[in-house]
Amino acid sequence: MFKYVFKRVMVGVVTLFLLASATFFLMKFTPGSPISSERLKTEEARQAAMEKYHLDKSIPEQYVIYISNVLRGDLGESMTANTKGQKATDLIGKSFPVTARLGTVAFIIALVGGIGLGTAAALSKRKWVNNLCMFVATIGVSVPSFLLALLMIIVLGVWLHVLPFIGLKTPANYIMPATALALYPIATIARLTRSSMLEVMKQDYIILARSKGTPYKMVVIKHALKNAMLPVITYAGPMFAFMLTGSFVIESVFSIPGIGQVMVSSIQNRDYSMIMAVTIFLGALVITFNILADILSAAIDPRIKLK
Amino acid sequence: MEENKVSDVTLSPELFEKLDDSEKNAEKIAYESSTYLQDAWKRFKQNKLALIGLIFLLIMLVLSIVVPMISPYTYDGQDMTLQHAGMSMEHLLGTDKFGRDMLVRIMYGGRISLAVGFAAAVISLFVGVVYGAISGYCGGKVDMVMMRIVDAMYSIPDMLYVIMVVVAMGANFFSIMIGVCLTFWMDMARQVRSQVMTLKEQEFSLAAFVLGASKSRILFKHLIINSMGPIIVTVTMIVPRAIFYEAFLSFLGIGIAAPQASWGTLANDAKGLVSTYPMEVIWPVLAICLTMLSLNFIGDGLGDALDPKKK
Repeated sequence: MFKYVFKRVMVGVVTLFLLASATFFLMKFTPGSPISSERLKTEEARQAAMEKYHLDKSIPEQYVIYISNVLRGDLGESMTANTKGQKATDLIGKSFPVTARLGTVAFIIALVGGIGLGTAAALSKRKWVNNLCMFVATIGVSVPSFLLALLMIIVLGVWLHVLPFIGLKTPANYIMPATALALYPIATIARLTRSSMLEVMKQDYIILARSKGTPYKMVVIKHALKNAMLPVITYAGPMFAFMLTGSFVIESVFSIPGIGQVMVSSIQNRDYSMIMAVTIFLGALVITFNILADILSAAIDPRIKLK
Repeated sequence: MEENKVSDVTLSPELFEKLDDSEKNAEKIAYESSTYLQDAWKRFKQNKLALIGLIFLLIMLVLSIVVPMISPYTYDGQDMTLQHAGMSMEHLLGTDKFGRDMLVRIMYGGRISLAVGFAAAVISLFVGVVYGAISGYCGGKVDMVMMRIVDAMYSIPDMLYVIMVVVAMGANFFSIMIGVCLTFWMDMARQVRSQVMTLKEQEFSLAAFVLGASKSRILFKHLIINSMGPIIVTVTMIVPRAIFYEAFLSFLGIGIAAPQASWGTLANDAKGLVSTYPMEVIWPVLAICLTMLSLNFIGDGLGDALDPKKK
C-alpha cells in the first residue's frame, strides 16, 4: 500500500513540474511582456521594472527563478489594472472558498441525482423509467453547462422570476449555478451507476442474500449499492476537475466572485502571471484529487491488486 | 443386372415437367449475403434516434453551407436602423445589436463550429491512431513510456492547457483547433492501443506474420483495419466535444474574433442581453445543443451498428 501511494504521489509531482514548465515556456513565447502595458517614461523606470520581473536575465535563468519561486509557494503578482501588485496567492486564497462552496453543493447534487437516476434505471421494471433516465443522461452530456445556465436564467430568472441569478448571497442563489455545474456529472454518474448496478445484481452474493430472506430494499442498499459505487468513486477525480474548469464560465454567467471569475478576467486582460498561477494551482488541486480518488478506490476494493 | 433394378417403370421424357426458373432456388434458405457495411447500415437504421440525429446533422450542414450563399444579407453587414429586430419575414430569426441578420450569422457560425469539430476529429484521428497503434504493437518499454506521457497529460484538466495554448498563440481558428486536438488525440490513442493489443494476439495476425508480412503491413493493413469500428465511434464522439470546447473558449472571450462568429461567440455576444433580448441567446444555444445531441445519438447508434458481435 505504502509503495503504491508513494509511486502515485511521485508521478503527480513530476506531472505538476511538467505543467509548471510548460506554462512557463508557453508564456515566454507569447508576444508582449508584462512591462509593455505599463507606461514607463524614463529609461531607469524601464530598467527597474525589467529587474523586478527578472526580464534582464536569460530565459534559462528566469526559468530557474520561476521554478524556485513556485516551490516556495510564490506564484507571482497580478498585472491587471484594478488588482495590480496583489499577490496571486492572496487572490486565489480569497476567491477559491467561494468556488469550493459552490462546487460542494454541485458535488452533492451530482452524487444524489446521478446515483438516484442510475439506480432507478437499473432496478425499475417499467420501461419508461429506464428511458427517462437515459434521456436525461444523454441531455446531460450533450448540453454544455454554460448554455444550460443561460437557458435557466432566461426561463427561471427572467421569464418566471422564481430564482435569483446574480451572485451567491442567499441559498436560493446556489440552485441554478450548482445544477448547471452538476448536469454533466449527473449524466455520467447515472450511466456508470446503471451499468455497474446491472452487473452487481447478477452476482451470486445478491442471490444468496435474497434467498436468505433479506428484504429487497436491504439487499439493494446494503449489498448492491455499496458494490456498485466503485466506478463512481474512481470518477470522483475527473468530476472534480470538470467542475473546476466548468466553474470558469458558470461563475462568469452568474457573476460569482470565485476562482473561475479570476481566471476569466485574467484571460480577458491577458494577465499572464495570473493565468500561470491559477493554472498551476488548479493543476495541483486536480492531481491531488486524482491521487486521493485512486487511493480511496484501491483501499475500498480488495480486488484491485496494488502493484 | 441386379444393381440397376430400381423399378420396373420405364423412364421417358414425357414423365418430366420442366421447372420454372423461379423455383430453381426454392431449396436455398440462405438470404442474400450482405457486406459488413450493409449490415451496419441496417442496424443503424433501426435506431430511430440515431437516424433522426443523422438527418438533423445533414440538414444543418447543408443549411450552413447554402444559407450564407443565397441570403441577401452577409454575416457582417450592419444595418443600424434595425437593431435587435424580432422575427420577421425579412429577418427570419431577427437581427442582433448591429442589425446583422441572425439567421445568416448562425449559419455562418455553424460553418466555423462544425469545421472546428470535424477538423479536430480528423487530426486527432491520424495522430491518435498512429501513436496508439505504435504503442500497442511494440508493447514493452516503448508502450510504457508512450502511455506514461499520455497518463501525465491526462491527469491535468484539459481545459487548462487548451486555454494556455490559445492564449499563447492568439485566438483564431488555427490555434483553437490545435488546442482542442491536444486533448482529443489521447482518447483516440488509448482506444487504438487497447484494440491493437487484443487484436495482435489473435490468429489472423499470427497467420499474416507467418506468411511473411512486414510489421508495418500487419499493423496498418490488418490490425488498424480491424479496429475501424471503435475508431469511427471515437471520432463521432470527438466532434461534439470539439464543438463544445470551441464554444467554451469563445464564451470565455478567446474564441473566433469579430466580425466572424461561431456559435459560441454568438452566445457570448448575447449573454449580457438575457434579460432584454433572450431570443438572441436562444438561437445559438439551440443550434449548439441540438447539433451536439444529434452527434451523440449518431455516435451511440454507430457504436451499436459497427459492433460485429451485435448482429
